Amino acid sequence: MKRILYICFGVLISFAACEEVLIEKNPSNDPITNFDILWKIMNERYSFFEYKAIDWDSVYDVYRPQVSTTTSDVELFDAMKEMLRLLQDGHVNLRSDFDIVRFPDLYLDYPQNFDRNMLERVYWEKDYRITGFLINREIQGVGYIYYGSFGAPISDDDLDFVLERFEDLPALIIDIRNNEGGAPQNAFRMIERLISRRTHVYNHQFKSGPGADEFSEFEEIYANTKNDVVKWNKPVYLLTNRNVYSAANLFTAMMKAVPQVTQIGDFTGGGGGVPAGAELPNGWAFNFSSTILSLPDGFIVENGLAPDIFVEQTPEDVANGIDPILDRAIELAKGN
Amino acid sequence: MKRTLLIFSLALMSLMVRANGDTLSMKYGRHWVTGLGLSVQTVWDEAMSPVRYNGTSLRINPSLQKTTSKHWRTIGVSLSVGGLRSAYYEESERGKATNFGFNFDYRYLRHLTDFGKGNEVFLGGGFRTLNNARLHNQLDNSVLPFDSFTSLSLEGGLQRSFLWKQRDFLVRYSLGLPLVSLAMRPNFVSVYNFVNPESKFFNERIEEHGLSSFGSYFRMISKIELLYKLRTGNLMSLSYQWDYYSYNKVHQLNVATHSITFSRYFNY
Repeated sequence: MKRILYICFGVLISFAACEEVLIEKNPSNDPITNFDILWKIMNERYSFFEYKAIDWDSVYDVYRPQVSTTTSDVELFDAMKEMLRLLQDGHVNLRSDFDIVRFPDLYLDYPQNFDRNMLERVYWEKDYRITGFLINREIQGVGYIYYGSFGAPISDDDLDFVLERFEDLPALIIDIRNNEGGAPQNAFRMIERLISRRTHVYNHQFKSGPGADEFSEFEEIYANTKNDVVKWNKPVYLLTNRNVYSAANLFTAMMKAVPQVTQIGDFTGGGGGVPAGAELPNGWAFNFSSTILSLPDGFIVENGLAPDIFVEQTPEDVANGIDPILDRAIELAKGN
Repeated sequence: MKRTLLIFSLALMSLMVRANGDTLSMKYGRHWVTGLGLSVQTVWDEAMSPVRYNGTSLRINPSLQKTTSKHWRTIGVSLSVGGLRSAYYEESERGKATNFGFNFDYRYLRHLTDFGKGNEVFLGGGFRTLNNARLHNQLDNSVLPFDSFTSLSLEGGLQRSFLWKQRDFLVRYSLGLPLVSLAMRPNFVSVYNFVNPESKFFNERIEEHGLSSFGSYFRMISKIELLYKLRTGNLMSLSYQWDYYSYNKVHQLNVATHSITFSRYFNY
């Protein structure tokens, strides 16, 4: 019996030992290795180098010398931050325990064009409904919906309720200002109420290999119409600002394919690549755009979408309780 | 952790109750087997990140088993759920990944030969599936690293009965080596096509990867099991399994899993 137990024990130990040989060792957790891994993964998987005309090799030549074996965590983070901010991409984030790389220039360099507090006090007032996550009310004879995040799920029942509520009104305003994205499924759920047939809404391609030009073929993405639900075929005014990002930017792109939709306000912030992510040996995690999304005509939506009617809101407007973007939409909806 | 599992398994062996002296009915019979186990896993998956992930999983293994003097057949599934984390992110909840596993195995082995005293050798084939998905909040909501392999395999087995302290035991060893497999892995950036509502997830994966064999996919499942007969005629067992696989298309993947499983065999 002893011999059998010894054999069993030997088998167990030998397999455990094999494993140490067969599986890669953890890379060294030093500043240079962490920097190199970040640079390399971005180099192979980031999707917008060519579109943004960024020479990532030369970026390495500039930033890699800033990192040495004695670089502190904060210094390393700041060097990585500077490097990543060159991409001007809100989907590029690096997260450590003490800071997060982000790209607020997308909206801080532009007027806000949205003041929720003023909007609520002057336009929404006290009698608006909150259906699921859709704030809705009739404003000056026009249907109005505010949807603040595509991360907040909307249901068919929510949409049925709101669209039925407004069915006698001449037009609908969908306000997505300051909507920074979430789940694209909610965008499809909304748009299927506005189209009468299957519609080509955008194109999409993935980074498919480490080479700079390795991408999948552009895939045409379609939105389907939905039956047995309340539909809307009258004019729609979509209000946007620079804080409209990611899935909200995607929704705006899709709305470009719907004939009765007019986009009013400022450019959207962009975000036209589905984010992917990875971890570094030191435990910091990062995200980056890994796909390219374009309109059916080929226009890449990464840097935002221009409105059909450009309208700005000044600080004076806010102080005076005026939302020119919403006012313009109401005006158009009423046929003035 | 591995050492703890070994000590745990040896301790369980020592707690076994006294058996009937009937080795023949231990070797041969039809059983419904329920297994509950604990696994320790090491993962290197560059579809996630170029770092090692370690974790433990709880495992449930229901199966049916039939052994005669001519053949040894098993059909069963294994469900597992557990956590994984990289070495340097132990303090944060965000650093955790959740690992889900589902395996289906069918093995048919013919009795090949006997050697020595009470040693029986079996050889045959099998159909094995291996499916693991790792959800990791650190990455992104559109990222889903997974691996799925459906394989035809070569299977070997050995069983030997023996007497220890006037008690009858049966020890079984089995080895599985997939020969040809349908492999499915995420695309290069591990992002599933969630911006296309018409996307067919499995069809896209199959189109991308297809068949694999040695050179790109290697797996070895090595299991040793100690069985003991209870007074009711049912069996109880303690097993150790080492399951290693690697896949080197698109991104390097190496996974090693050590499992200790405690099982009850019910006659039917």
